Amino acid sequence: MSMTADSAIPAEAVESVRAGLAALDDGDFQAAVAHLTAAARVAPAVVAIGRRLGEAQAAAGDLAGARATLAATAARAPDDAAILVDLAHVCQIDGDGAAARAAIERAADLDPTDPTIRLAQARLYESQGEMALAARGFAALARTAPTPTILNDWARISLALGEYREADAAFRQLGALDPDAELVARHGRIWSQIGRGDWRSALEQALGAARVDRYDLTTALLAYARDRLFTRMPQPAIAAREAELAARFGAELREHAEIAAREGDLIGRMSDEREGARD
Amino acid sequence: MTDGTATGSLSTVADPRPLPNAAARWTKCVNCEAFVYYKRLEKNQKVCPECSYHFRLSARERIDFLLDPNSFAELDAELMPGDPLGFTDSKPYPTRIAENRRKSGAREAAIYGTGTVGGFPLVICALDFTFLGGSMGSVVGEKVTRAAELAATSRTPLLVCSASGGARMQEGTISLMQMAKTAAALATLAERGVPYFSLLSDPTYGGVSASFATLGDLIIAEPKARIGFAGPQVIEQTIRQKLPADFQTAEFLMEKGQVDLIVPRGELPSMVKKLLRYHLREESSEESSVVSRTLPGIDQSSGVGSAMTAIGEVAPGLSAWESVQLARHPERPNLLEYIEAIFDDFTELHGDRTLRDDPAIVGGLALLAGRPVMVIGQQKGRGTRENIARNFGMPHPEGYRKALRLMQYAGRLGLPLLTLIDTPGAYPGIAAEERNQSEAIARNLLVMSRLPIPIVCTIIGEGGSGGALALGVGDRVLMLENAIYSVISPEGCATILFKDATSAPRAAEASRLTARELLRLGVADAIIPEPSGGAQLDPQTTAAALKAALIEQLAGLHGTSGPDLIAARYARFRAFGDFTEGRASAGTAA
Repeated sequence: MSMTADSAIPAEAVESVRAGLAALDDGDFQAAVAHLTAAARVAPAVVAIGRRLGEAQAAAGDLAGARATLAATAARAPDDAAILVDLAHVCQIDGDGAAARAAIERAADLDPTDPTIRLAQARLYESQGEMALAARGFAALARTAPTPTILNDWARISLALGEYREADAAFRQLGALDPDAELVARHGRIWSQIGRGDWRSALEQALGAARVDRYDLTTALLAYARDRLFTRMPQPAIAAREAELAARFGAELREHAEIAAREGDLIGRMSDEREGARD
Repeated sequence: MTDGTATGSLSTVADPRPLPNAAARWTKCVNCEAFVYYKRLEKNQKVCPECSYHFRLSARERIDFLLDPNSFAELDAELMPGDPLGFTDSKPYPTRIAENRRKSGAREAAIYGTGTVGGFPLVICALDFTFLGGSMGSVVGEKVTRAAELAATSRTPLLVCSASGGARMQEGTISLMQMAKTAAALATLAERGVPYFSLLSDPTYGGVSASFATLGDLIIAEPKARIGFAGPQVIEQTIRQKLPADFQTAEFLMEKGQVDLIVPRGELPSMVKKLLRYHLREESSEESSVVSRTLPGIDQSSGVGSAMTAIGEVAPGLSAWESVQLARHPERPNLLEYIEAIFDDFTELHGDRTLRDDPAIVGGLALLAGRPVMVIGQQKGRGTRENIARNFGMPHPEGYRKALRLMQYAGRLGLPLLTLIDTPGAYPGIAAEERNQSEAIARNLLVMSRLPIPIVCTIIGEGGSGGALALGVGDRVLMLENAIYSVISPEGCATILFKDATSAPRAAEASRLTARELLRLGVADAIIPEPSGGAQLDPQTTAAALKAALIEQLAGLHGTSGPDLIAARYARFRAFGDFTEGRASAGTAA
């Protein structure tokens, strides 16, 4: 049963909540914690206050406090996925991977349609080294809510797992979706094709990339594809060349990830509204 | 929601902002991969609190983080690029622009306008790497140019924040021309004596780095920002060599003398405020009246004020050789110690813009009794390690070229120049000769003679020959009581002229290198007394005397026009020479 604001927040807590939220917005996290702690003392059952207190504690770097507050708040509102997402991240930063995983999986079960929770889940899996689970999560998101960031993540993890077919698909989708990612997507496809041993496709792809970029990585990939296709390279030379190319392509992919990160905000706007409505 | 649990809407208590979505609340740092709560990241101005990685900013974010709240007034936001080449790669240029607009929310890769930092006005232009890689086409070039023109006409300092891959290929040679256009606008700004600060963030390359970004009077870089002309891969492919790991980072450039300061993002507003404060126009600042207030009864028409000693007032107790020993005393206060004791808010500036930052020369902006000045001098080390790092206060050509750059900057901006000289001499070495030590010294003499600003030079320790004079062409030349100033060291003189290195004391006496003798010869204008036994026995008292002397001298020169200063300086140095004129006797001419 949902209660109205006026009945849910006692009058004596309103000022503290207001001051806490203002401090939070101003970036004065210690003050926010103090005000919201006072409010939570007066109104311990109000979930929204607990959540904001947990947020203030997380922002202030008080992981233990945030964890305790969010766990208690989640216990009071077991169907609130957003609190569980925050709890999962706080647990992860606090070094408790098992608790983080339990919380994020509960959140995902509660709201299986929210792509932002799926994205948070996949990223947490990756942080925990669960690359196959992460790849599965990103692949699902790429089908339902593709963004440059998600496709970058999916491609990167697929490459790390040696799943070159999936990586190629991710890069193809990325190139089609993001006008600025054409080059990184082409490089990714070349790299995926090299990984699969498909030298002819890699060479063709590299020749195509040369239309966009005559220098840098394109040339290096082109040269490598040519050498592999037409010469006999000794194994140590292959390993050295591939390590160098992987490092350079990794840097390009990271750069794209940072620029594209803003796209992550776009996917979430709809669910922002939903979460805002929940508050 | 379970029964009995109050959800509670915070919207009725003016929740200022709804929470972002689950994924956006936790940002994964691309450098250290730590999860960072979005509020924490925002508070930290998008610098990872775990590893200090500086996330890239949009132009709006840059301005929001830097300027006083609500002070920014954007200008010419509606400028739109044309399509001068009818360019198409995988898609037409106009389509690419439209897609970028939709994606980034920005109209172009730069915004400019006016605003304040700490209440000080400035014109600001910020590039946006998220829009077509911050590339410079017609609109970016036009906005940078208009910003410079506005700064020039309004005599307001200009700050340009760069983040760009270079010139925009889709506009071809027209984008190349933006480099020349922006540089020309900045030349006008420099002629008007308006300061231009350039902030370099990651990445700044190509046509942007090779035009307005590296033309700043002062160049500031964010930590670890990558800055260069050609990208590292292009260089590696060309020279077939592996580049150092820190190649083209801000730190690398600092070492190579290409940037003045590396400032973490969180400290940028206070640094910019400080820099703006140095450039308050004297007539509108309180500082000039502070100087007057601190100098009651000073006769400003005389060259020498009351903090100094005239001929005959110095106790003639020490021999020249004893003065040499005191001038070289390992405990004698050095440049940075005097700066610390005398000036407020010193900001050291680095580099000659070409080769490296020579630690034997230290220079920067500071406040003297509230008045902004440029301070430059030679820095000896305290102890062996620092002495090696500072090359025992013996500058290389790049040190003198750093000093030259700072002097010219002070000249353009109308800041008084104070030099504090303490060097055994310019460094005599192969590399110094290869880089033309002679020209570096000579250039300083030439430029100092024409700077339209008050220049007060003080020899605080050793005044070793041309290496000292390279900072010594001033309107007033002061000497601490036990400082020395000579054309060659006593040891060198003894070896060459007396054919005996042990005759150094005799050579010292013969060279007339003490403050007292040089005052008599007119090389020094005044002597600043030291405590009995030397400055090292009471550095605070010595520093106080030096400070009083500098304030007095500046007060004496205050109000003199640039041309009058130059004319008097010319006359001062023109007068040096001891000769007789007479008709050559018959038969002596060839």
